Amino acid sequence: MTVRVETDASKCRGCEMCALECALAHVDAPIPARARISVFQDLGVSTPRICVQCESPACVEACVQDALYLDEDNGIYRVDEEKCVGCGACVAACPFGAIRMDPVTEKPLVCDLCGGNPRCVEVCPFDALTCVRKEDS
Amino acid sequence: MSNLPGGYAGKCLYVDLTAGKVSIKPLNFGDRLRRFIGGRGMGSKTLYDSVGPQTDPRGPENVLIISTGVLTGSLAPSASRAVFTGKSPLTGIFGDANIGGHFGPELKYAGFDYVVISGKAPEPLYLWIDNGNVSLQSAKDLWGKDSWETQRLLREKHKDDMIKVACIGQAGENGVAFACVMSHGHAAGRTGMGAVMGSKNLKAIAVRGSNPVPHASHELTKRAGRKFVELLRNDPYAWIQARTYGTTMWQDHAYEKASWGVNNYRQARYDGLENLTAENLRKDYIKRMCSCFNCPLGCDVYCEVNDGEFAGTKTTGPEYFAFGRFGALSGNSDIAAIIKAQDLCDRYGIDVGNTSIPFAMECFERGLITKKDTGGEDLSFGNYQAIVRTIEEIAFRKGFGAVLADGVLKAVEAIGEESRPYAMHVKGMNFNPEDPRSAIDRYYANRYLLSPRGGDHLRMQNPEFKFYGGFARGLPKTEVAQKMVWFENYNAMQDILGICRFSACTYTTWPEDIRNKCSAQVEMFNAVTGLDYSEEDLMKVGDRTNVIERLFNAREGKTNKDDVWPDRQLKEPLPDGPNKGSIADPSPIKFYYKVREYDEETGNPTPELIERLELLD
Repeated sequence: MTVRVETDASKCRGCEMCALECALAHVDAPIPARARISVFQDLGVSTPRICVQCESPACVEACVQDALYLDEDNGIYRVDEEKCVGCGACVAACPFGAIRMDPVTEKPLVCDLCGGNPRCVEVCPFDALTCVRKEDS
Repeated sequence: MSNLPGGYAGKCLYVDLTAGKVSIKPLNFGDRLRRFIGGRGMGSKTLYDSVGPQTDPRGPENVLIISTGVLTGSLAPSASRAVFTGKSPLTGIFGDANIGGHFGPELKYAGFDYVVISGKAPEPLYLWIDNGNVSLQSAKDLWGKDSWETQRLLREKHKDDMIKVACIGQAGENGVAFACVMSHGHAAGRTGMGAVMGSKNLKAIAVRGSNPVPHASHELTKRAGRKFVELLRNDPYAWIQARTYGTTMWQDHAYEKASWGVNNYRQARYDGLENLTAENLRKDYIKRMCSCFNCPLGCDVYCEVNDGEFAGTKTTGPEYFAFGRFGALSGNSDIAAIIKAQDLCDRYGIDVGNTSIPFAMECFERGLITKKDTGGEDLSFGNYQAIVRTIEEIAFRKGFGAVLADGVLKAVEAIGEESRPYAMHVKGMNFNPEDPRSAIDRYYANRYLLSPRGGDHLRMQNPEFKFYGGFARGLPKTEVAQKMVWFENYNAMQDILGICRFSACTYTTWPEDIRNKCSAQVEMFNAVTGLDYSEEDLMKVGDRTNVIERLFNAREGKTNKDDVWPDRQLKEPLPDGPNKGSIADPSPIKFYYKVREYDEETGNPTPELIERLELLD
């Protein structure tokens, strides 16, 4: 079971294939703005931003609606879209900039590890993303 | 109900800077779009229809067209390109510049396939495109800022660090004739589109978008894309060399074959310049690699200089062009200086290829200019500090930089007629580092003569190619000419689809792979659009695009008499190196005019051809 996606910013070249694939897998639309992974770019910098699966996550703490929760069955953080009011407190709280709002649903985009086999890791052509599995960590 | 096939974002944006107005029109898959499809095709057609011989390239009547490829921003790999098209302030003829990176895809995600900018703003403005919401805003705080700083400030202002920006640096503001449009270290480099933007008082275009490019089939696009990527993956030239060294690897090929000019093409031998290798760049300076949108190659190098007088320099690049021009062509072996020169060109927004420093150095060595003209600068070949300082002067039109800031032909006018033999250009645009006299480029070099942009290397591949696997010599010239035309049409097809030239052509070892890449692109086009085009259909669009660009220049008074080499290439045999004694060979071009069915007298499109290709409305 994958517990998190590890990023290596020194290998990332900023092609955004991860984001295309993520959005395609989750909302059936290849659009980076709706992906649960994003790549920040500046001079000499390409940094993938994705949930690092904190042990005591600030986003969960910040959510007054209790809409963000840990799925105990598989250790995946999920958004209860019924409870979520789209206030953006989780976005502001995440110290890694890993949560964004979906511009269409106006609900937070939180990595769900694709249920255990993250698509982004599979498509990265530069080996900048790796799965850390339970037995490894 | 829209009749648009997949691939199109669906809207055109018209910006009238004089009136300060923007208008949005839906894109219609009508007669015009069917004939020219997208990207460079639509850019060139729109320019032909909007701008005539009476138009001053720097005047408000010139238009600046940004057109994205049909596949740009889709799931098709290596499709990231957009084209900036306008009448060139450098050459006075057809101008366009193709850019990779992330700007083109973002523009489509914001909903726009094309942007047509006309007029002139009374004060500096930038265009803010936030999905469908478009506004013109004051660029007072951005004016005077370099390209990286402009991007940073716009992201801060709009509180979104994912905004994609295309902007001019100081060179565009100061009207340097060969100023670029820059986006995140990528350049719409040649023909001075940054000067057009600057003349319109338009500092930047900032874009944010969240609408996907519509696909007829995601699955079929991915399947066709995998075929394209497989071809790259199985080619060590693309998958190993390009991914390690970027385009600077061509320096090493050039060194082996002595195909690049040294000291303003006076020589071909690299004596004393042996350290100019891609491996030395990698070893000492390349810190990481960057990629354009959705490309598995990532061939853009990022360098840092950590010691010496240029310590602290950080830049994307240098590309092979800077390596050639600021290296061997300027007699310089200091790699850190090349990196610094590239960095300044990127920040100020200057086309590396038209800086004309090798020309100035030869004039200096021959005594046509002296320290009195250069403000005390010693412009001897190899003076690496002079290279860096001269770029600075060009961007701000300071001192001797003002002489070089309007391009090589204006520099000849300023220095005097006796300097003309040392201007290594075609139609006012300096050409690639490759010397047209070297054997590897014998016929290939003729692309400099035939490109509608002037001395430009990107419209055609080597008609004698087996690329890096060797060369097919001794072909009849008609066949050479047919291959030239095929490549011109194929390259235009990539620019229409938004596919990168490097992926589609230049990073190829085996010639049959070019044909396979071509069919993979046709397959991707059909998968995204849902249309059923044959290779021939798409090549015909490429054909139209090439001919309408030639027609634009014909209307500006250009003929086959302008498709000529500087005397050095024709009359001065190479003095050294493996190709010693050879001169340029333009003999295939008269066969080329014939294959293109151009007029025998003028080398321009005939009325019959114009009609048959349905170029006009």
